[in-house]
Amino acid sequence: MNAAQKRSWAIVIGMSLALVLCVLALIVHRLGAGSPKPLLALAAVAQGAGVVVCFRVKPDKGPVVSDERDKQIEKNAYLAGFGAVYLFVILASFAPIAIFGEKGSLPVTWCPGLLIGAGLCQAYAMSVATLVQYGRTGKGELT
Amino acid sequence: MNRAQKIAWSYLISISLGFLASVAFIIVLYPKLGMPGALRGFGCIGLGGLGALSHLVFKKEHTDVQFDERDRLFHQRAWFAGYCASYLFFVVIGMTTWFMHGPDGTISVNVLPLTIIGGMMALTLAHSVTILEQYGWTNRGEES
Repeated sequence: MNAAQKRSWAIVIGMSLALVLCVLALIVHRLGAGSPKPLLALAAVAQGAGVVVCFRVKPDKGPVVSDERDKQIEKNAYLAGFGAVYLFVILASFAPIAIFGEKGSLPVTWCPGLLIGAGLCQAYAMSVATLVQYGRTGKGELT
Repeated sequence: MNRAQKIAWSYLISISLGFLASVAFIIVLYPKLGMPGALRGFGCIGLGGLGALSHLVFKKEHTDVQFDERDRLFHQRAWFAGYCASYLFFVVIGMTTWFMHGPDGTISVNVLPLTIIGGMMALTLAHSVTILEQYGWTNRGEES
């Protein structure tokens, strides 16, 4: 498994775990079954751990660290990330009309929240696209 | 000039025309309607959509090699530039709105869909400019 695959796995696992914990926190909040704060704190820790592991992955060693195929995979991953961001931004922009109605208004904090969501979406989609292209296991890839 | 250049020029001209027409209409309507009534001049931005017709007008070239690795690289770079421009647009608009209204402010639900239209215009403009920048703005060196 190469460094890009390891980084992608760290991001995918960290973010997936954080997402599940956030959904659980939302369910707990809705059901009134206690405070969702511990779950949200755990989600933040999971997300943070994923990012830390991603940065701690050591670069590949060897005479050829990155070739044309790696560059192409990276470019495709970026494009997949951009596509996911567009989808997210379009959904998050039209959802308030469906929720609040045509004459409704929404808090302006939605705007920076949208950008943060877009960034997370980009990272997740890029990692998934990288894993799909290299393969999810170490088969055929240098360690 | 090849097909990609012609299409890029069409988008560039139609979007610029739409933008200039919008500004002109807003200036003309402002004394009569004031703000925000004059903003209906922004409807002229729809002229930018005429650029999409260029895909039908400029037919595919009948040559042995229509699209090679160099063309693919140019298009990939152009899409990157387009996406980066639209990303930048979203960030600037999002943060400007936040700074203008303050953390406790509210905005109409219609603002965000308009932002997407702006982002797509930024994408198309940056894509066209990058295509022309790489192939060249004139027909020099490119087959017609």
